[in-house]
Amino acid sequence: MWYGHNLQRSYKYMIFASKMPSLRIDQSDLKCKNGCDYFGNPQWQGYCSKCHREQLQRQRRAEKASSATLPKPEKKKPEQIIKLASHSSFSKFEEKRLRQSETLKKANLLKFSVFKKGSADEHDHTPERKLPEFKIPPQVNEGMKREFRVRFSNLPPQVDRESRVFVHNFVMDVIKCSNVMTVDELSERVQRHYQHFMKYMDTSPHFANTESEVKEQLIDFVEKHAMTYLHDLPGVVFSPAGTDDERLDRAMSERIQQLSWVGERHLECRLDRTDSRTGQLLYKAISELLAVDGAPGPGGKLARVRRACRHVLALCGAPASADDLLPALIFTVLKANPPRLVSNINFVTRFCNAQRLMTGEGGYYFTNLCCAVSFIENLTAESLNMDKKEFDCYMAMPASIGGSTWAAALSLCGAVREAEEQRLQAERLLEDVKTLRANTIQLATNAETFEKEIAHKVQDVLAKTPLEIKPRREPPKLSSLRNSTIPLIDLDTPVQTPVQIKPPEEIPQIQIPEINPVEETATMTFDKTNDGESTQNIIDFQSLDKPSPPKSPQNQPWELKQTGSFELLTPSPLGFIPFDSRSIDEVMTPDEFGSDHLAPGLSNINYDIDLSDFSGDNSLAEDTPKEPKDPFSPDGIKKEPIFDPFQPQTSQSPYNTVLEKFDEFSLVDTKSNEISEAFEVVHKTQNPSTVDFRPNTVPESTDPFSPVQKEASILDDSGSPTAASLLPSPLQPQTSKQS
Amino acid sequence: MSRCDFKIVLLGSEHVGKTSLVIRFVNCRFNSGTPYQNTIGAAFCAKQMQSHDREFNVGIWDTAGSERYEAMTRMYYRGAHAAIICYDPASLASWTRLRHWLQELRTVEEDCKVYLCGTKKDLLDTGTVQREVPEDIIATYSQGLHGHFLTSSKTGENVDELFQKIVDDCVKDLKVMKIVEEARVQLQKEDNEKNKNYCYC
Repeated sequence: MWYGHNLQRSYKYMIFASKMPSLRIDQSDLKCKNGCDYFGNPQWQGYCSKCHREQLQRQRRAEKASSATLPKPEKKKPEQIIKLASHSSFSKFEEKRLRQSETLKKANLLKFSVFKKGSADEHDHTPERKLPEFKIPPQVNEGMKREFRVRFSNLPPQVDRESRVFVHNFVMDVIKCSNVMTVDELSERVQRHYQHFMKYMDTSPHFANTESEVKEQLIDFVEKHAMTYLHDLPGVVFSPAGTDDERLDRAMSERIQQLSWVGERHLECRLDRTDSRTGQLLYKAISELLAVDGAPGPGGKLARVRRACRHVLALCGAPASADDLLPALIFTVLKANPPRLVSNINFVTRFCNAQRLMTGEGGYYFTNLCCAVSFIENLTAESLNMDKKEFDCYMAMPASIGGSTWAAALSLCGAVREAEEQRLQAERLLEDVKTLRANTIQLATNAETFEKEIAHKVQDVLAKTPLEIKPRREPPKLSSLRNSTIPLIDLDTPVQTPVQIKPPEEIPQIQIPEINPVEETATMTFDKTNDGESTQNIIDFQSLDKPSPPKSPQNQPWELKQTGSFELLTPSPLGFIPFDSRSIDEVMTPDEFGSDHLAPGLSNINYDIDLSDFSGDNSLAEDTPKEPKDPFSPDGIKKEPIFDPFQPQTSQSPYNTVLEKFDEFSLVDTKSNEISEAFEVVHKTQNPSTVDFRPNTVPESTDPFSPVQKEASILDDSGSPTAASLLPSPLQPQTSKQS
Repeated sequence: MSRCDFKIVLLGSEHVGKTSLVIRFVNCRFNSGTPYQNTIGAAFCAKQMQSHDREFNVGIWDTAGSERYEAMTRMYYRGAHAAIICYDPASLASWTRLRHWLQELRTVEEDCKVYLCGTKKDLLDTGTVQREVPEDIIATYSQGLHGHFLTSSKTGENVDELFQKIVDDCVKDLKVMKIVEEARVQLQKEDNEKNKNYCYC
């Protein structure tokens, strides 16, 4: 297909060539530049279609590679020949090539003017074949759409469409013209396009209310997208064919390499290179300059230059003027040796929106860069204020030597930057550690203060609440001691008997006798213990109450009992809340409380406390009213805790010390086995201290339940949490025995 | 402020006080305007000014006065609307260099308005330095120019007047505006012509 076309075309060319000798186009001019036997086409830079395609691909690849890996001059083989020598050899070739391309362009124009009329069909052919090649990829459109939506969301959609149409026409026009126009003409054409668009913005009704700021942004936007696409096309706008930009690039890079020995002292700029901040700024400026080549649009390049110059300005110190800026910038350029410097500068000068380039900050800095480049180009001994001989000596020095210092400077820069970065990071980490430490201390103090506050509050609360409770309880107890003792004893004694019955089933009887006598003997003292309990309750809740002891001015044994009873009572208020909802009435109904009720002075709280302990038993009993009699064993177990308070009295002699600390449960344990004390100790600690009493015991209860299913069933029936809480402790010893 | 309406270039040899002039002008009169420039330096300053009831952005370009960069100054005043050539009345050397720029401007940038500015007036007034540049010479030179000012960056004398006059002149000079308009019209015409020429390619 390609070849077929080519043949056809070449054939036509041949015919015209033979028909019109007056054209004076040599046949060799028409041949492919590559030397293959096909005819070339000026539209394809003098190649035949195939060679052109290959050439194009090669160029693109090179372009990509160079832009990807950056410093082109560094990649190049280090040519140690002095500039003049290299020029003589290379520039000849370059000039030849230039001349060739110029003539080709002329020939191209000529041909068109001549062929236009004669070969209408051929002419129609050309754009058709070109179109697929120059078709603008949809990404450009998509990118524009996306960015427009983000940046100019308040502008009407027509503007979006029109700007896209404009960019499309612009790009197509430039591509079309790039083959037939010189760069300057093309540049003018591009500028005209910009002005055209500006005019459109001035006249279009869509922009009636938009600010000039937005308009500028829009033209920047248009310029950016059009030029970004064109920039990547090889030889169209960036170092276009027909200019010697590339050669100048190379020359400039060599020149800079040669001048690598030029230091800040030659340029008389005040830079302190030992200062780390200076190094950092210099490095930033250099990296911005290097990045100029990577930016696709002229606006982006200009922005990079601006940033670089700002760093340089910062490098100079606070009140920096142009007198400081320019030398410092020259120095920076010398150290950076930016790739394709001349091409980039030319590209911006030619195709950047001229109005922006002429005025404004970016324009100023760009002008400075141009000045720096031109200074470097024309640098002589005088411009450095140094001896001509010395200068020549330096210049005659092989670039590699100079290059080493230059490279060292750069690498030093890099090392300094790296070190700086690491230092900064270390500082940041240290800072983090510090803040962390401060936070921990803060947290600790917070916790402490919080603890204190809580303690304080608790004390406050304790200080407030006891006052109410004290007076109420004390008098009734004193009175109730005598009144209520009798019913209490009656209630307790029947309960005790089942306990005695139970043990024979499971617990070794040896211990039971011990308990029984104690309880029996306790009956007399028991009444008092109950009284003691009530007083102790008050004491314990109040914790600070000291008047209570005088009111129960009994012997030390009383106090011992008190501890036990207190613990009995403490769980009751804790478990009281859920209990209330369920069966306060039920609690109240039992006979025991009926009897207690008789006591006139007792407060509700007191009742609750007392009840809760018993209530567990009562509720269970009520839930399964008939069962308790049959399987006394569970009930008995449950009721054991109730007896505990009394037991302390009995066990005073052997377990005095232990009992002081331990609960009712501990007492049960003493009954059952000493081995199981370990479990019980846990109970004790949990029970009195915290509300966790239930939750802690519940899992424990569930565990032992599995082996003992009878009791579990009973518990399930009861379902009350308080019951559960009370149950486990007696159960455990049993299980331990079983196991 | 990426674009400026007017571009004013400061020319003059080293140490005549170009930078001080700019700093004085930019920092003192409108403290509210363009604070971002001040911290960086005075190489380029942009400022909003009022003239004929309109706001204009003025970009002031400082140039390096050192003789070694003299060849490059041309780049700076390309397309400038106005140029201020500074000299130190107490230094004849600064005056002789001034003539070089005058010539250049006249030939290269014909449309650029040129203002002469003698600096360090306060030193002259107090008598700490002696005037070296004769006033009559200055007078003859400034005849063909747009104005001559004797300023003091220290006291701020005449500084604002100088810049205000420049802006006023620029605005008044409808020619500047016209040129832009004409250029556009012309370009459009050219565009059409060119379109005709190239529509076949």
